[in-house]
Amino acid sequence: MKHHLSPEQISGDFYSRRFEQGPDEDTLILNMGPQHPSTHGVLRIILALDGEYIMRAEPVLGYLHRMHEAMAEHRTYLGYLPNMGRVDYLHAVAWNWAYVGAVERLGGIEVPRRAEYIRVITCELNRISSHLLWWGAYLLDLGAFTPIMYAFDDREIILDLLQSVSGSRLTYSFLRPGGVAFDLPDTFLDEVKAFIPHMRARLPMYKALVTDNTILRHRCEEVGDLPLEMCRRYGATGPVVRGSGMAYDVRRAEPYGVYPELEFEIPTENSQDAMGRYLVRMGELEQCLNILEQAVQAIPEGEHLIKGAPKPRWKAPVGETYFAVEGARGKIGVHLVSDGSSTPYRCKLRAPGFSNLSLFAELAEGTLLADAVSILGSLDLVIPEIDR
Amino acid sequence: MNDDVFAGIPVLLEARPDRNRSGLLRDLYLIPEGIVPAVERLFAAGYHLEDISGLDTKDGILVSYHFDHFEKPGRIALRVLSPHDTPKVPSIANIFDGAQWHERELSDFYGVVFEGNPNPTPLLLPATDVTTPLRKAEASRVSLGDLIDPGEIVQMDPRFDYFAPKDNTDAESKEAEA
Repeated sequence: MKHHLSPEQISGDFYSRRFEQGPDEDTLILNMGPQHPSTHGVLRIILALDGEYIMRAEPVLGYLHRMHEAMAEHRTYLGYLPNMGRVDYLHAVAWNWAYVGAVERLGGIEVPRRAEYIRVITCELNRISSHLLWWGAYLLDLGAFTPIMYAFDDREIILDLLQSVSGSRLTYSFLRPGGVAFDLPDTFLDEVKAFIPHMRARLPMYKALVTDNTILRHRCEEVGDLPLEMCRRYGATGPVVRGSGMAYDVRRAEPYGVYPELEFEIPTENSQDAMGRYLVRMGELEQCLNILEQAVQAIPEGEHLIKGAPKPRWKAPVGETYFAVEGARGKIGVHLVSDGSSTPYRCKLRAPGFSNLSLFAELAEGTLLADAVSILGSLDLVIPEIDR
Repeated sequence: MNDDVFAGIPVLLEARPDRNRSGLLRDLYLIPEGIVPAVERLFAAGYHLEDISGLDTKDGILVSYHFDHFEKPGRIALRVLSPHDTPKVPSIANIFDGAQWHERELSDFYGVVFEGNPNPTPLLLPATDVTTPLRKAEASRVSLGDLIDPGEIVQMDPRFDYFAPKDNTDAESKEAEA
């Protein structure tokens, strides 16, 4: 039968031609993505399948690459801040924090204590909303349509809270070098105090409905066995490394803000499978509530922004800094270099998802395609952060 | 922190930066041939690779490797300065598998060639459109000494003189070391 397709249409693009070894009767080359409901964004993974088993996998990135690092070199220090919310839209406050923290280090800028507590409260609320979306979307990937509805119900309360203080529902540009953009509305702390017991009361329902569910456990237990040594080889951090037994959290390893004054545990699991990573994040939901409870009691009166905080055309002193925070996905790093002008000379964004995804090709070898979906979900990927 | 982790590796400059400002515990500038042995030492000592970051300066393209440790936190930066015309650095992807992607990203953005990278294809930019977008126009480049303050210089090869002394005291102590 005569093909109506050109040779390029048959063989694909540069990456699929490079991936494919040649005709093989037993292997199917499949593109998972870039349009796919379970790749959590615009991610393409080329797979060589023997039946349902993955012989080889190669992620192909760049479908959401917007060159954020070049944008930094063409914006003022304050003008670049909104970019941070678009890097990881699920934990925008953490990316805000990583960036303003780097700017504060370069500029020797202090932050008032009230602003530090506002940062902790908004960052931990954001972490909960990020984990809730991860949880609902993960279950959706595995074929369960109900949990995401409950997760988004709770998430809506957090979005309303953060909107009341920042003006945004999702891509917050709320922090500033020297503090935060706005002080808290009068009712905010009471509303957070009401949210904490509400969320605590929901967690047992999540556990009974989902965590203890036999189908979820079969989809996650012993899936994606990730030894700690492999995490180290790829630089994986966050719940991925904590699910493999290492209690590494930037809030304790490289303390910043007022986290040293707050007590919280670092949930860690030793099973090193998808279930371990799942349980770490569920444990972190409880710890976020723990931190919030302390922060809303301890927050002092005072300024929300230091006097003399950088104005739009502010020039950073010459120098270089690296500042890291613990995001929902792992260690977020900003490597900032200033030549003394009003635009950054260099702003390198270290995304935790970039390192976490890089281990997928090795981790997915030999697994079932359905298990690969579970593995991807257990890594909690946000593609805009990976591509930047 | 074991001070001997880099013993025997030729170092162009070693510094102890202002940790509060720079975020670094140790900062080492190496010749390209030194990066693989240095990284092997860090791997053996339990470090993980955070990222590899590029910087286009008047003196060349600075490739900065950031390492940290899960159990003994303290960031270490290893640096290699590579000429603009043919920037080539040995790959460390055979030691830290995660370096493959970081190196490919630097190749995309700066055109640096990492010799020995197992998959030297574009990572983020289109395969057919090689533009090295983070390279600066020659007139916009700034010299290394006008960007980075290394802090307290522990040892320095006199050939690696990009960081001019801040005051007479530094110049005297460096003369005493040389």
